[in-house]
Amino acid sequence: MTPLSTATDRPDSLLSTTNPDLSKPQRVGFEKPEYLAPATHLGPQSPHASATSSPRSSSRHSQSNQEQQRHLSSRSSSPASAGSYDDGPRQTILASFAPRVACFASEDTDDIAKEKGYSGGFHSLLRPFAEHVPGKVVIRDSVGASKAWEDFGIRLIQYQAEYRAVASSVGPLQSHQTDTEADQPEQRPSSDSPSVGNTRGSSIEAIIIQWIHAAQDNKQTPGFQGLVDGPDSQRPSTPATAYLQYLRKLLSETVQEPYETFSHPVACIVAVSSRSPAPLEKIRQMYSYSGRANNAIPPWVAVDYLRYYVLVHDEDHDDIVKSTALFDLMKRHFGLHCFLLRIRSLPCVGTDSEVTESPRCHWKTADEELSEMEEFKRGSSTSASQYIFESDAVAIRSFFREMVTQSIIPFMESRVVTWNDQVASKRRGIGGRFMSLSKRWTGFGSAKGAGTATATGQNPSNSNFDPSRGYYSPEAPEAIMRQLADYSFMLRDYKLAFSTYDSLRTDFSNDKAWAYHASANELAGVSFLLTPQVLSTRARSEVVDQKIEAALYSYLTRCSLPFGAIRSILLTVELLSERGPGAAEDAARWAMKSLELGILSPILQVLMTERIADIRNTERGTGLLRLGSRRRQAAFWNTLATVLWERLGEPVPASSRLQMARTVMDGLGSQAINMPFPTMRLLYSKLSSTESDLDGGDEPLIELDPTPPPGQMNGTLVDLTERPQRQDVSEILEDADASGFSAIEANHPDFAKAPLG
Amino acid sequence: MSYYFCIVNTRDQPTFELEFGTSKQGGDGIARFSPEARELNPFLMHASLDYVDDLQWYTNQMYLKRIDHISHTHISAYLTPTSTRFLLLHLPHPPNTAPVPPPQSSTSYSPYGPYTNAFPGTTFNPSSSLSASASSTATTTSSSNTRILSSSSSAGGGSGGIPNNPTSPQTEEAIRLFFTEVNEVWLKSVMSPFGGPLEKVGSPVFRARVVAAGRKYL
Amino acid sequence: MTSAQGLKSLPQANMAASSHQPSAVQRAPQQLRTPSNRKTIYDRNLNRTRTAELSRASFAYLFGEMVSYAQKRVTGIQDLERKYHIPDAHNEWSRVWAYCIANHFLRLNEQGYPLGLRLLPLLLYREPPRTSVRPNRILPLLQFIHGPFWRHLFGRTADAIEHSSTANNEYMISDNEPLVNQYISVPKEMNQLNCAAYVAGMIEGVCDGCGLKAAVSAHNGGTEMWPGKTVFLIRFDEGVIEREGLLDAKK
Repeated sequence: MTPLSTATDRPDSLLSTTNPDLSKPQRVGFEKPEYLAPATHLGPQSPHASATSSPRSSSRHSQSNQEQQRHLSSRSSSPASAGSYDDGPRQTILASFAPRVACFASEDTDDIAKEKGYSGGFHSLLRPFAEHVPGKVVIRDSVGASKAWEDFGIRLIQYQAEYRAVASSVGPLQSHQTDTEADQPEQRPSSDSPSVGNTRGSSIEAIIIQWIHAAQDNKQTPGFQGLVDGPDSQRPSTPATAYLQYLRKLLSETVQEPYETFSHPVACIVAVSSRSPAPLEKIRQMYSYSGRANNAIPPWVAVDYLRYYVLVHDEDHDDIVKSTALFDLMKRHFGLHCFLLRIRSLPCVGTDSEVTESPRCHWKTADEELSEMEEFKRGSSTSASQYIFESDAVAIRSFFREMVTQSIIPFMESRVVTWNDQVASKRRGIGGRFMSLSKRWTGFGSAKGAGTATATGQNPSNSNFDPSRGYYSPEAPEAIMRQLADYSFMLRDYKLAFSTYDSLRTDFSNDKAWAYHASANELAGVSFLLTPQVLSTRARSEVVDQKIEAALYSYLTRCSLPFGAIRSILLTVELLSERGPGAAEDAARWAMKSLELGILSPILQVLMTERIADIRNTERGTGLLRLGSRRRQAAFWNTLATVLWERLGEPVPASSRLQMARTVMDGLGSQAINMPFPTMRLLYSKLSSTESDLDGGDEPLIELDPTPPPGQMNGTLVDLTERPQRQDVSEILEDADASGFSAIEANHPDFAKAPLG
Repeated sequence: MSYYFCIVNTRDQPTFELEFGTSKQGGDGIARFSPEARELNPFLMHASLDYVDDLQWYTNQMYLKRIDHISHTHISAYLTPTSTRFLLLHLPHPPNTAPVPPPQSSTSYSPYGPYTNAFPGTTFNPSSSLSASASSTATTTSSSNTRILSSSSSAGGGSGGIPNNPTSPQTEEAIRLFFTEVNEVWLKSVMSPFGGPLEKVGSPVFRARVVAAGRKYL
Repeated sequence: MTSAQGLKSLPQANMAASSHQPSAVQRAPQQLRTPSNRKTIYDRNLNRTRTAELSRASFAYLFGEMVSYAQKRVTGIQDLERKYHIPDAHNEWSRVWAYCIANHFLRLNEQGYPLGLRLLPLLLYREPPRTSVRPNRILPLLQFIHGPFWRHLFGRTADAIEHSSTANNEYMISDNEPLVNQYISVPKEMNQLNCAAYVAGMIEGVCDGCGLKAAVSAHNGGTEMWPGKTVFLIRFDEGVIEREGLLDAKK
């Protein structure tokens, strides 16, 4: 009994002050609170999610249902439609840094879910619901100001699976030596070897390619309800979508890293069911296994997360009176963090009454999505059934709402306050600075970490960082600070997050903990960009540029973590691109830099090229004279993207890019004639011809007899002016009164030589 | 080093174009752009005009130096007082050899993407390109000029001579001298009543003068 | 003899009206016609020489012919001096240029415009490297016109630059005794005409060439002391003024 108290020692007062309106418990699952009323459809579906399901729906369901689906998919025409809300890149980024909650269910609880048709167990039943907590979620920041968020959510991870995966990947330590660090070999934490980065990247790419091909198939065979929503859905074919999907998939990755705690669980749901013969005993067993006793938990993960106890009541088979009594007992034993979840165990089919469509999981990792695609193709789909009893959906939603607003957020808030008082503020003071420099920090919680380090004798510098193992122990003040920063980041208190990351950077660099250093720099830059303040040019160059540059250098040169570098750049680009013209310029610069670093795969290179084109397209310039316009750049990047798609053998996105390039070129109108450089026509006519092969003869923009390239490589000096000039001259004069232009016609080469006759 | 020189009028049309190669270090003066690069070069030139039009108001110098680059292809610009633009695209590679096609790699995180074909010379050696960018990290973080890209990957295969390092001060100066000489010839050309600042410069004498300037300085 | 030295030092630049007849052009695609001394324009020096000066009398004669050329072909005074303005906001001297050519440089202003466009790069070329900079803002531009430009044409600087107190985009450059009007007496019924429209056209060419698009006109501003005083009114485009503000804000 005693060990459980650690998880439940949060003062109740905090809870009630934070959410005064919610202090009345709403534990009866079948009541339908107001905020849940219309929320049966959480929004548009991801193309893939519906891919697995739409054929079934069309066979089983009425026309109206299909209509509804179509409506859903057409409504979600925005690029980020895979999200559960209409979100652009910024919302995607905000939502991606959600607290992770581990789901640790007993076998009998998993059985209930399996009976319902969720082969993945209890976790897979709950998971889609966790991604969006209905209604507003109020979060208090470090200075006590409250802010309500509509789009808050958490990510449910499967307790054992996650840790087993990590445990298996913890192999022998690898040392990554680079030229610059040869004298000080960096022992990189081993969970992320370059090959991991590779597989991650390649599965994302496989998905992107699937989408593109699906779109292509769709275009050629209208009416085919295949991998995309339907013939009316153009979403995956628009390249910007592919880019945003890439971003989302990249941010969905949940591989555990020692150097950032976003993927470490904030809480652990311990779930038992009413079928269990001895539920309390089972909970105790599971509790003891949810900490250090579980060897699969990597040593760098702090285990003092919140435990939340759920009793799953089987409505179809068990007695509610018994369960209520049991639940009362649970509350008495384990404190307030308990919930009685009443769900039915019978499988749900779409023909039943009072059913609702189950929400889609929008934050699947690329690997999960790929394997589901494979299963779907093989026809042996074991994914979750598409319908769920309305009562179950309501119960699960209110469970998440209560758990998040009344337990998880108060827990995280109090953690932030505690750590901020006990660790961070001390270190920010003179004493703390001194302590940090002298590396003799023995304050809050660090005794153990420092002790081990000294005892093993592997750490002569007395730093809390153990270079041989490559991580800080979770009790070290640096690790706690990092957790503080991550918690406040997830709670969207970006100001506190920024200052904490910023102060950590020097510590990590002193300890030569380069992966930590890279990540802290990256997130300092990102949290700075997320702070709602005016972003001056100076702040951009001094804060953002500096930190991201440092992050890139640490990620790439010191740690060989291209994945981190790519994430830094994508985040920076997205957050900058919506900060006005000057910042968009910076965003484009970062995107171009990512191309130069040579860390992007071919597909991502094209996506990035498209992104640059789109950013350039937004830079229309200010004032009547369009100062700072980047239209011609937009034309170039669109063209380049076209060429690159062609080169990858993807004619569909290529032709849509070509269309955009032409639109931009046409729009240049008053600045220049459409195709100012005659040589441009060669490429355009070439690209247009491939395009017209594709969709049956689209009228090319310019009529041009495809003259052979003017200069030949074998000539010594190639003069490009030797091309037919007539056409150009007439274009020079297109909008002026042409009557007087005989003078220009007279501009024959010969006459320039003899000006005076 | 291969060069593509262009005079662009205020309507963004080229009035004079010339491709040539370096004559330094035993170069034979032949341009060696790949066919793909020759298709895309005009687009790159055209796009860089955005930077020229911007810089026009921030500096009163005529020589705008290196204004744009994509992988190893760089563009330098000179702006005459009447907003006629001289653009010089330079692609570094050892004299008298074609730009080396990059080796193909099989891993999915290959640094050799499609860009390598588009802009030859993009022979990214992972380690060298990373350290190059890293060293520029140290020096250019405070750079406030957002137009000039901070990362400058140095060319494959060559020490610091003019033909091989497009970012060196020597190259910058050589290009300045080239532009200055072209400016003089161009001025003579537009002073002619038949050679207005908008029209194509077709005179073979003019072209010979530009070629000579290229041979002399580049 | 400072009279018209500017004009004669660039003989090709004078847009004489007779030189653009297409019929006069003979195409000789292969053989180049070169002067007997084998010197092309590219062999000439761009810097002025003392011996290349031209007498004031010949300039006066030539200018007189230009005025009467313009007068014969146009109907009213306005037409005689003003250049047609193309109603287009975008900042391209190329359109005005094209229009001048299209009109056979009919009007005085149009005759001056190409001259200004050509003088601008030439004068900057002759400046020492340190001062050889593009006038890319309003004030440096006006100083250039008032100083080097005027000195080149008339052997002295202009007499005043003023900024209008009512209209933000209006500047005035005044010349107490414009050289071009020295031998010209305008009839009473045409007293609105100022033949310095030719010079106004040059100024406009300089402004447009720099990318600071303006409309320039010449006005009689005679005083007791300077009865021939001429005021050149420079009206910058709205967009130019706006851009100046944006650039100042960025500094």
